[in-house]
Amino acid sequence: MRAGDGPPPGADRLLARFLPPGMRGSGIVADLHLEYRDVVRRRGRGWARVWYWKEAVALAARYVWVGTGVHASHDGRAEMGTFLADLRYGLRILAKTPGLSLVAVLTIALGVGLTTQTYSYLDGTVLRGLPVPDADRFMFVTERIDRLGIDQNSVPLHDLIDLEERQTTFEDLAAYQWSTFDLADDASPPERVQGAVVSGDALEVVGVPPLLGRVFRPGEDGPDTPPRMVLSYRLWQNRFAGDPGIVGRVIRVDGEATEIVGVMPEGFRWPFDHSAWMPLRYDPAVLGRRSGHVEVFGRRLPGVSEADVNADLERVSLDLERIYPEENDDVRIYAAPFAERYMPKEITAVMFLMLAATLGVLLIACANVANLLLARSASRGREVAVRSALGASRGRVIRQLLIETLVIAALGGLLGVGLAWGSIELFERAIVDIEKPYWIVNRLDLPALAFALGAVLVSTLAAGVIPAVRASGLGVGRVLGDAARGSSSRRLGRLTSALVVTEIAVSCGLLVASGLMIRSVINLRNTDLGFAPDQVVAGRVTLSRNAYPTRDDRRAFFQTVEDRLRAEPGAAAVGLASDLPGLGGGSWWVRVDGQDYAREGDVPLVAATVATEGIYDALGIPLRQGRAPTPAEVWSADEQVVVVSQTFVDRYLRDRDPLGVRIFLSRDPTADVPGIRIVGVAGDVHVGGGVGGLGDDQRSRAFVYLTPGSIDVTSMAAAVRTRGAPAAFGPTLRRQVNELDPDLPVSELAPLSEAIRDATWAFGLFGSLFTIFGLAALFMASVGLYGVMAHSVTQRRLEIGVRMALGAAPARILRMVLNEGTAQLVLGMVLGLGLGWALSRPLSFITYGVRLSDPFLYLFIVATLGSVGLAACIVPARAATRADPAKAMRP
Amino acid sequence: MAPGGYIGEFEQMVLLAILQAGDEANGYRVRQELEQAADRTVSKGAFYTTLDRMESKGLVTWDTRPPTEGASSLPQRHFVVTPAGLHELHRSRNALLNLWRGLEEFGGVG
Repeated sequence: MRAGDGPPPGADRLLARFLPPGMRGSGIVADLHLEYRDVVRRRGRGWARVWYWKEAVALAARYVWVGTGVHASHDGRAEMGTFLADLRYGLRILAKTPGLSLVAVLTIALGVGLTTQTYSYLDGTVLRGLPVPDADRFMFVTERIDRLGIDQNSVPLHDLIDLEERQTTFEDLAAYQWSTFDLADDASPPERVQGAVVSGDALEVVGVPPLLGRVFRPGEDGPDTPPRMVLSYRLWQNRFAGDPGIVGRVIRVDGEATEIVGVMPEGFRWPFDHSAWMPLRYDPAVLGRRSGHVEVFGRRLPGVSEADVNADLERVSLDLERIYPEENDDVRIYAAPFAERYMPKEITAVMFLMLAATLGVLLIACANVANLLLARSASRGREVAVRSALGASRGRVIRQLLIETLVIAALGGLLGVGLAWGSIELFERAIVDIEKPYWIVNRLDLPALAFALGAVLVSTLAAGVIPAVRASGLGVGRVLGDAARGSSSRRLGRLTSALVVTEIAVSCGLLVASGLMIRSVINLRNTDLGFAPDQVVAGRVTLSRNAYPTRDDRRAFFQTVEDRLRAEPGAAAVGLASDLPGLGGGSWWVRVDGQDYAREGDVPLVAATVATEGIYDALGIPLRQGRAPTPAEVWSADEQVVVVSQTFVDRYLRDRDPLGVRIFLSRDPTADVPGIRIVGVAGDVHVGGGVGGLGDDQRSRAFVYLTPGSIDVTSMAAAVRTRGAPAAFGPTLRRQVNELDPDLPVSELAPLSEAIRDATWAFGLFGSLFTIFGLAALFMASVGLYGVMAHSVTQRRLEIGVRMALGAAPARILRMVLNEGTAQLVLGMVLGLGLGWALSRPLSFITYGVRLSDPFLYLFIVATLGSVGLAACIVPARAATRADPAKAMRP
Repeated sequence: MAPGGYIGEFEQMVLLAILQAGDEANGYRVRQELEQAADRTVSKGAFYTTLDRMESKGLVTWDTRPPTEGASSLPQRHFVVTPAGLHELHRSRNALLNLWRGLEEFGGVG
């Protein structure tokens, strides 16, 4: 045979791939070659080649899909063949009942979608951890002073130096401090960035190598070192347009010529969401033992546990307490995983709770699908019995039924992953402006997909095993005989009832949780803040100690800014404050003159702001008693006066006329400070603060308004009540500041109501997530209840037909069917309310102004679930009464 | 095959076709015999899986012959009916003959 006369080699490769290996396959090909020669002779070569391809594809397909059917026990490919045959059969069965299949697939999709989404949040927030080498050993070190009720306090520099000498469980310890840098150069307008000042070895200890240039070296910190800066990738791109020659360039930072020595890689914004780093310039020689606080971190030695570390730190703490009995009295140093510094444990707990909640939804989904399959397996009892009678083993039948469930779960899982992907994208877009730790990135990555796969497999088993075992176990005689018709509903009935009760309970519990969250969001939105942020725009100015070295310089600057803003025609009222109500306040210890405090722990802590007299008009804070400070009092250090909130008076000045009382405010409860006279009492305001606005009930916090005359501040926010739209005044505010100092940026410039809304993002976030969970649960429970009732009615159609033929009134039939449904509904709700009550305990951290035992909430949920559940029962019950008895009694 | 049962019709036909093809009993030739005698087309997939199944039951076996000159570079399989296969053929035939006995009026044997 001439070359090129042979059969198409491509077809032969196809055959070689799919036919059995060895002679068994090549013999078949050889036969085909013989036949090909005959076909060429009879029909010509062109036709023969087409014929050969057709035969090859048909043979290959036969071996792929059906397998040989011979060596099922020891031939993997044959095993695959039967699997595929089951799969095909499963798909055919699903296609036969498209409605039921669609409901089952959608149910699983919802369950898998929600769990995958929540898992990916949990993974991104908690599980994935910091993107630094050996993140599991990366810890922060902090101080606790129980005597003063202080926890997670940053560490004074001298404690750090002593700690470095004495500790034996860390590889290295390094320090940083939050800071802001005002960048200025000739190319772009001045800009304020969030940065950190770090000890010389800090970036080396973190362990992420720079993209360009270098990081700082040990010894490059300290009071006399020249200023240097390392940039984040983002800052390098945004401000310097990714200039490849950036290393070595000199820019002005806080007015000082600063050399850029390196650029960090993309995504590195350690420790929180920072854009630039400079060396720490503390001089231990001039610092007292309890000053110069820094954040301390390091990596514990390999093989050393967290408990070992803390035992070691406890030992060092006791040593230091012995050596410095006064300064280190009751000071305890301890360490915890670094991420916990910026991600409170409570948030982690809520994330896990959310995952549990969505797993509850998945559970409901599985119960629904199980119920649907149970319903079908009852009607397929005959088919299964026939197959068993023909010799199919029980395992074989179970496997077939499980594969059908797998098909449902896999389709649902695919759809669910799509849902999760979409909602994560939307969610990320919604929270793009929220400040959060830089390592929290929500995306649908490999772990999340693996989780989704796990969820699909688990739901296959959870939803499939019971129906499959049930169906396969029905005795052949029982099903094929007449006994089947009346009794199968009874036998399956108890199991489906249990599933439905579980479903109702779980969804009721989730509804309680989401109800609490929704109430919190509504409360927060409707809460009386105690002031009127709507017509207010605010922007912050922070003065560097280089450009404004003395207290008088700073006071003069702030005073001039306030005056200039007041002269603007668009401004109705202007005030300055170090902390604006609604966005948090600093914590101060307060002693009231004439009051005795037995122990230091008794000295109360209040929230405070340093404000000018204009703040009351600008924010609309009412003065209940006395007056605001005069401009002279505000700016002068001689005449120190203070305004306190109504809660402050109620709590600490009961039965006293507050006006004229002297109070002592300080950051250090032991410090000796001059007393300040109360001249006015302001209405209570919502203080705010906390992670995402979470934490104490903010309305009841005592609040104190100090003056820049008595307290030196470097950073103040200007609040302007505008005549027009507040956002439109922003550029004017910025212009006024930059006319005074062109290098000075205005940060946090936004309408105040927007800023407050952003600061309470956590309520909106958790509220909307739990609402979605609750609604999904409600939807699924009603679908489940409907499915079960509809099936039960179908199963009992003979009985119902007989009853109606014998003259039972439709109303009586309706009542009979409804009784069965309501019993399940009531039992499920009772269990569910208990579950909800248990769930509400850990949720109290993220609720706002809600009583956990709010009776209206529970009543509302019972009413909602009850009416949806009843509707799900009534529809099939009515259908039952309309059925023609003659038809129903036919087998 | 269940104990005491008989081999199926298609299996009988394949065994007989192998015997008919004699020394040329490669897969192609056997299938041709089968199609001519039974006057129907036989799907290759069904044909080869039946051969494999009968092999696993010990009814047929095969050896390797050199490639057919001018048709293929691959060696051919040559099928042979085993003694067990022959025995099964006879058992089926005898069973049928026994059932036909005395049914002359329907065309059976005497």
